[in-house]
Amino acid sequence: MDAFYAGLFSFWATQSANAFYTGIGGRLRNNQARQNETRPYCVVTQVDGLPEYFQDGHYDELAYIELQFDIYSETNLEVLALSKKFMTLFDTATFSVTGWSLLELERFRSLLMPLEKDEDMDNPLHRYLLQYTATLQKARV
Amino acid sequence: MARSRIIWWKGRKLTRKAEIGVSLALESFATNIWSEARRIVPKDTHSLKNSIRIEKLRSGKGRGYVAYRIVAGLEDGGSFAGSGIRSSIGGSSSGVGVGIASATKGKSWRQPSYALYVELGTSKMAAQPFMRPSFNKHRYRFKKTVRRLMKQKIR
Repeated sequence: MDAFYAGLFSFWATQSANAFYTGIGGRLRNNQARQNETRPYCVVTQVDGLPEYFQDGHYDELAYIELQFDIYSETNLEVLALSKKFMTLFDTATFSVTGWSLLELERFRSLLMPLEKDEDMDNPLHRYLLQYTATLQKARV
Repeated sequence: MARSRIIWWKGRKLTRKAEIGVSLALESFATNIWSEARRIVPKDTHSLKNSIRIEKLRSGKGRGYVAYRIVAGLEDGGSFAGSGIRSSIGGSSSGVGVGIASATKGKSWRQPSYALYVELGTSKMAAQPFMRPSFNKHRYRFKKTVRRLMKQKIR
């Protein structure tokens, strides 16, 4: 849903003074990070999305989008501190989505993931995973 | 005199008929998730697809708990204690949910399952979720079915 992502990234653009935004140096990437991305950074991925919930033979005009945020950092302490800042910012976030009302943004999973270490990595990568469900309702005309 | 098992759901007594009904709904729900997960999972070697299976959990003594679990992964010899991902469906008041198993086996820390990496992605590979979307696709219908059964059978 393009309108949702437009709203999300507009919201993000207004948060330049936020502790999380400055913590990651504004590096929020969509779906994939750049090669040799400067750490720390955050990647947002859409896990799932139900366009409109079909029930009892009619659409109830609700849409669900599940998002995954991965915060990557050099150290365990930094990734934990950034995740807390992220939750403070995003758990209560509200932003406008054209044609829709954002009813709820619910965090359903937060996990400290196992350390990632590859031969081509200078330092291992610490990761914190957060998943949210956004519930939207079609705006009444 | 034979003792009958009483199941409580949201403070009300359930009949044996309702238990059977819910159990059947759960089984059908688990089968739907299983088949959807197998359909959408990335199929490079088909080994991940072939590892997806349904496990029926035993009922708790006197608690009337019915649950199924859909598991993927467990490459390390197929041991149940290995890592993997699962969808747990409970017929009790605890409701429904999707869980991710931790990457432990016995006392030693092991590498997480490949299934977990496919579902959640890594720093070098985008997530290709197959468990969560499969679960979501059917859960709304499931809740409705169970609610209807409960209303019919609670006395």
